[in-house]
Amino acid sequence: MGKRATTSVRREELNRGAWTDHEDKILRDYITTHGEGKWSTLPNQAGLKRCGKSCRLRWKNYLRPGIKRGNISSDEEELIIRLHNLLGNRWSLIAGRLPGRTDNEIKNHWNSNLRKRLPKTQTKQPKRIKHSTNNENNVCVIRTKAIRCSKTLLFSDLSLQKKSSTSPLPLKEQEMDQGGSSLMGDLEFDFDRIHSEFHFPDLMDFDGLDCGNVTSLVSSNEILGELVPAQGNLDLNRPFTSCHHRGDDEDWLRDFTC
Amino acid sequence: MDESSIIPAEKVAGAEKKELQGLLKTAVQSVDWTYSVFWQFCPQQRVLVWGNGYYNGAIKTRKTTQPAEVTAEEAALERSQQLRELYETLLAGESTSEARACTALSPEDLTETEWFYLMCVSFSFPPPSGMPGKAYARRKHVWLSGANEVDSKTFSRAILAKSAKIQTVVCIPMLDGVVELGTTKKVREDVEFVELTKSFFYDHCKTNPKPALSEHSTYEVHEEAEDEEEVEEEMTMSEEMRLGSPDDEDVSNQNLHSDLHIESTHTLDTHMDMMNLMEEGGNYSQTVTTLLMSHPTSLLSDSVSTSSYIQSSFATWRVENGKEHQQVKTAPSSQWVLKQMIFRVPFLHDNTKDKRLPREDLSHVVAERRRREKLNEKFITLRSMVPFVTKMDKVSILGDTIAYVNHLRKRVHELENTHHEQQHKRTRTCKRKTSEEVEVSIIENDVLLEMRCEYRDGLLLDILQVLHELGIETTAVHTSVNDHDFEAEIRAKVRGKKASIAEVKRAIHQVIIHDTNL
Amino acid sequence: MDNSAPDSLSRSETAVTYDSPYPLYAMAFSSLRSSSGHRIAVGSFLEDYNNRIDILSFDSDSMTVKPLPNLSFEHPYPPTKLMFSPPSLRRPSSGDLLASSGDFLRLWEINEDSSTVEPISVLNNSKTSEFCAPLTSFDWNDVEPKRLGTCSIDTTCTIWDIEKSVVETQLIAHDKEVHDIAWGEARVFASVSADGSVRIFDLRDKEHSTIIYESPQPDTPLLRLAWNKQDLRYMATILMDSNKVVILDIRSPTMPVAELERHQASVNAIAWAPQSCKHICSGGDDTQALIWELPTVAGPNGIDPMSVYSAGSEINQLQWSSSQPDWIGIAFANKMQLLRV
Repeated sequence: MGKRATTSVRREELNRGAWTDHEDKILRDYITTHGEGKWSTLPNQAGLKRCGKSCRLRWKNYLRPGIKRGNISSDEEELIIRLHNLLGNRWSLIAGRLPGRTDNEIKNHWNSNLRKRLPKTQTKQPKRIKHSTNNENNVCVIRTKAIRCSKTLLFSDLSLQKKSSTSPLPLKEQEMDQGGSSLMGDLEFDFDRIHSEFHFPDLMDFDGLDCGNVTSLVSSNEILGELVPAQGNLDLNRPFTSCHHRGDDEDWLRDFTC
Repeated sequence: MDESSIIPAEKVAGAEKKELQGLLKTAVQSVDWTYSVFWQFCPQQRVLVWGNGYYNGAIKTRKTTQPAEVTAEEAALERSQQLRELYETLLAGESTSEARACTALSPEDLTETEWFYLMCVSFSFPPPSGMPGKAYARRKHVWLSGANEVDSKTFSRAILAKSAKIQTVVCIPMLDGVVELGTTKKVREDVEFVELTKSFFYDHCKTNPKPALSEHSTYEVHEEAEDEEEVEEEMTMSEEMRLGSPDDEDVSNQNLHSDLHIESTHTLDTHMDMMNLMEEGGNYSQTVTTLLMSHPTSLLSDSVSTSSYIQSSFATWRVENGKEHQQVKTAPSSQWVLKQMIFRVPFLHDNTKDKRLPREDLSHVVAERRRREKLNEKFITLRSMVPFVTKMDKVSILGDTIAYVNHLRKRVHELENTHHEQQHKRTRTCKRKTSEEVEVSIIENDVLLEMRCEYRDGLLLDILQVLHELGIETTAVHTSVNDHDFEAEIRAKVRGKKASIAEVKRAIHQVIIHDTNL
Repeated sequence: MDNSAPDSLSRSETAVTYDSPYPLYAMAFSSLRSSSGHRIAVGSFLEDYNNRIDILSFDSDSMTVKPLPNLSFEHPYPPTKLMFSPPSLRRPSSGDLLASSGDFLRLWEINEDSSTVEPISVLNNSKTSEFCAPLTSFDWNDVEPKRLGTCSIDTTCTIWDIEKSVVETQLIAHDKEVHDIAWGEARVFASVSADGSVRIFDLRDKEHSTIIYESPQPDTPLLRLAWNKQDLRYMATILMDSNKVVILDIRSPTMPVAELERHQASVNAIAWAPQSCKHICSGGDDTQALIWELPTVAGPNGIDPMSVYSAGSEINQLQWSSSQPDWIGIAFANKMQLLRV
C-alpha cells in the first residue's frame, strides 16, 4: 500500500517534455557501455527520469549512430514514392531501403508532404473484394488513335518512295490534306450532334423504342388520350360542375401565386 | 530472302526470352557478379525498360522445403523468377494472405541486394538519361565504380545501391538495348571484362543470322562518334533497317551522308519529317507485312467444286435469276433479325441493368442514349400538357410552353384584380369585353377549342355552325355560364380540308363581334 | 420443261432441315467429331430473358440432324454469337468448349459422354459495374486459342485470356457501337462499327488503329465482318440496309476491290469458304444464299454468283463448316438448314 503510493509519486516526477542534451548524453553513454536491450530497467540504471519506451524510441529515432539528419532530398522522395507504390504503408520495409532514415520519419514525411502531392488514385486504398475479374486484373482501357491509311508501304516500295520524295512540297500537301480532313470530320460530327438534338423525328424514335420509363409512358398515353374522341366521350360521363371546376382553378392558381 | 528472315524472329520470340536469360546467366556467372539485367529499348515510348534479368547474389536462408534434386543453378534461376513475380504481385497490390502461393516470396524474405534487383524493374530510362540510357545513346559502355558513394544525379539508383552495398555497375549496349551487370565488389574499369561479356552475346548471335547483327556492325563503325545529331541519325537508320533490306540500307546510308554535306538544315528537317511520316504509315505496313508473311496463301484447291448436279443443294446461277427483279427491295423491315440482334437485344440487357444499378454505372454511350430518350419522353409529355401547340418540333414546343406560362401569369394577374371591388361597374363591363379569349389548338386531325366571352342566347349554336362550315366536326362540348360569363371547351375532328388555327380564331371572333354589334 | 420440276424437288431434298420450337439466330459448327456425329449449336432468338441453346448432332452419311436434349440448356437473353473452340486449343478433358456472347461472355463445356453441359466462366469486362457491357459479337483466335476478342455497344473491343479468365487488354476501338470483330492473326484483329468504319488493330501497338474502309454514306453502320482465313489479304463486310457485299484488300485501304450486288434485298450474313481462298457465301432478305467466286479481274457488268439456293424465308445466319467444308448452315425463321455445296 505504501509502496504503491511511492510508485505513483515517481511517475508524476517523470520527465515528459523534450529531451535535454544532458539526458541524451546519459542515454548515449550508457548504451555505448552496456549495449541495447532491457529497456524496462535501463532508465533506473542509467539515472534517467524517463520510461523505458521513451528511451528506446529516443535511441532508435535520434541517437543511434548512422541516423541521417536534415531534410529528405528529392531523390529520397522519389524512392519513397516508388517503394510506397509497391509496399503500401509498410514503413519499416521502406526505411530499410533508405540508409539513415527511420520508419517514423518516413511515415511523417509521407503523411505531411507526399500524400497531398500525388493524385488520389495513386494513394493505396484498402481493397474491396469484388466479384468482377477485371478489377483484379488491373487492366486499363486503352483509347486507340485511329489513322486513315490510303497507302501501304511494302518493302519493295520503300526505296522507290524515298527516291521519289526528295521535294518538300508533297509532304506539306499531305500534311494539309490530313489536317483538313480531320477538321472537316470534327465539324461534321458537331453538326450531326446539334441536328439530332432538335430534329423532330427524335420524337418518333421514342415511339419506336418501346423501352424506358413505363410509368411516364402510361402517363403520356393518358394525357394524349384526351385528344381521342372516344376518350372525350368518357369525359362526358364524369361529374362536371362549374362551381367545382372554378374552385379547383382558383385554388391551383393561388398555389401558383404563392 | 531478307524478308523471310523476319519470320523466324517472330516465331521464336518466346524461345528467345529464355535464351536471353541464359545469356545473362552465363555472363554474370562467368565473372561472379551479383546480377545482370537486359534493358530493352521500346520504340513506341522511346525508353529502355526492364526486359529480362538474372540474379546471382546472396539470398536469405530458404524457409520452405525444396526437393533435394534441385541444383544450385536451378535454385538461382528460380530465385530470379520469384523476384520478378514478387514485383508483379506487389505492383498489383494484392493482399499477401490472399494470393501468395506457399513457395512465393514475401518482401521480408529479401536480402539488400535482392531489393536492389527487384527495384530495378520499376525504373525506365529514356536515352540519354540514366546509366543505361547514356550507354545506349553513346553506343559505348559506361563503367561506374563506387556506385554506392555517388549522388543520385550521377547514378539515379544511388540510394538503393548504398543500402545494398552495390559498388560497381557496368552498362554495355548491344542487341536492341543495354546489358547491365552489377556487383558488391569494387572493381576498376576493365575493357577486357567488357569484351568478354560482349563475346557471350556475339558468339550466340553469329549462329542465328538476324538483322540485329548487321545493326551492331553499323554501330561499331560509329562507336567513337559522340555528336548528338549523328546519334539521332543512327537511331533513325536502325528504325529504317527494320523495315528495309540491307541493300536499301547502303543506298540510304549514302543518301543520308550526301544530305548531310550538300543539303541545307531545312531540307534535313523536312527529310526527318518524311521519315516520321513513313514510320507512322509503316506501322500499318508492318502489320500487313507480318500478316502476309506469317500466313502464306494456302496451296489448297482454289475451287469449291460443287458435288454432282443431283446431290448439291445449290443451283447454278443463271442470268435470269438477276433479271426477275431488277429493283432491289430494301423494305423498312430489311435485315430485321440482324438489326434486332445488334441494335435491340443489347439494350434488353440494359433494361435489366437499369433496374438494379444507378444510372451513373452505365457506360457513357448507353447513358447518353438514355438521357436523350428521357428528353424525348418529356417533350412528348410537355406537348400534351400545353393546350395550343402549333408545331411538332422541340423548339416550337418550348416556345408554346413559354407562351402558355405567360398566359397563365396574365390570368393570375387578372384574377387578383377582381378582388378590388372599388372598380366602377362600367369599368367592369369593359373588362368583361376585354377578357374574352379564344384559344385554338390543332394537332393533326384533333381540334381543341377553349374560349370565354359574354353570354347570349344562341351563342353556342352559332359557334358550332361556324365550325361546321369550316369542316370541323364537333365531338365533345363542355360549357359553363357564370354571371354572364360564357366558358366553353370544344373538342372536334377535322373532316375534309384542314382549316388553319388563325382561320378558326377569326371565325369565332366574328361570331362574338356580330353579337356585340347587334 | 418437264424435267425441271423434279430437279428442283430433288435439290431441296438434298438439304437437311431442323425445325426448332422457337426462332433461331446464332449458330456454330464444332470442329470435333463426337460418337454420334458432328455437333452444331443453335441459339434461340426470343426477346426475353429466357432463351435456350440446343446442341444438334449431324450425321452427313445418313443426312440426318437430331437434337440432343440432354445437352440443351438455358441461356439468358438471345446469344449474339456462338463459337466452338478452335481445334488448336489443347484441353486435357475430352469435352468441347462453347463460347456465347450476350449480357456476358460465357464459356460452356459440352461433355457428350456424361451428357452434361457445365458453365465454365462468366466474364465481365466492366471495371465499375458487376455487369458486362452488352456484347454484340466475338471471335475466337485460332492461332492463339487462349485469346478471344469481344466487341460491345460501349465502343470497346476486349481481348480476353480465357485460360486465366481475365481481360488481357481493352481498347476503345470506335466512335460508336462496335458490331463485329474478326481475328486475322495471333495479334491482329479488325472490327466494324456503327460509325461506318472498318479498323485494324495490332496488339503490339495498342495506341493506334488503322481505318481501312468507311461506308460511302457517312455514318451508315457496318453490321458484319469476315476475314478470309485462307488469304488474309481479303475481308468482307456488309452495310445496313444494303444488298452489297463489300470485299476489301488490306493492301489497298479505303477502296473496295469488289462489290457483290446480286442479292435483291439486304444481306444479313457472310462467310468465307474454309478451304478455298476465293469463295464466299452470302445470305439475305431475298431468301437466297449465294456462293461467289472472286475473279482475278472484275468484269464490266459486275460479278455473278456461281450458284444459288432459295430458302423459304429471310436468311438471318450463315456458317460454312470448317470441319466439313462441303456443308453450309443457314438459319431462317425457326429452321436450321444444312446445304451441301
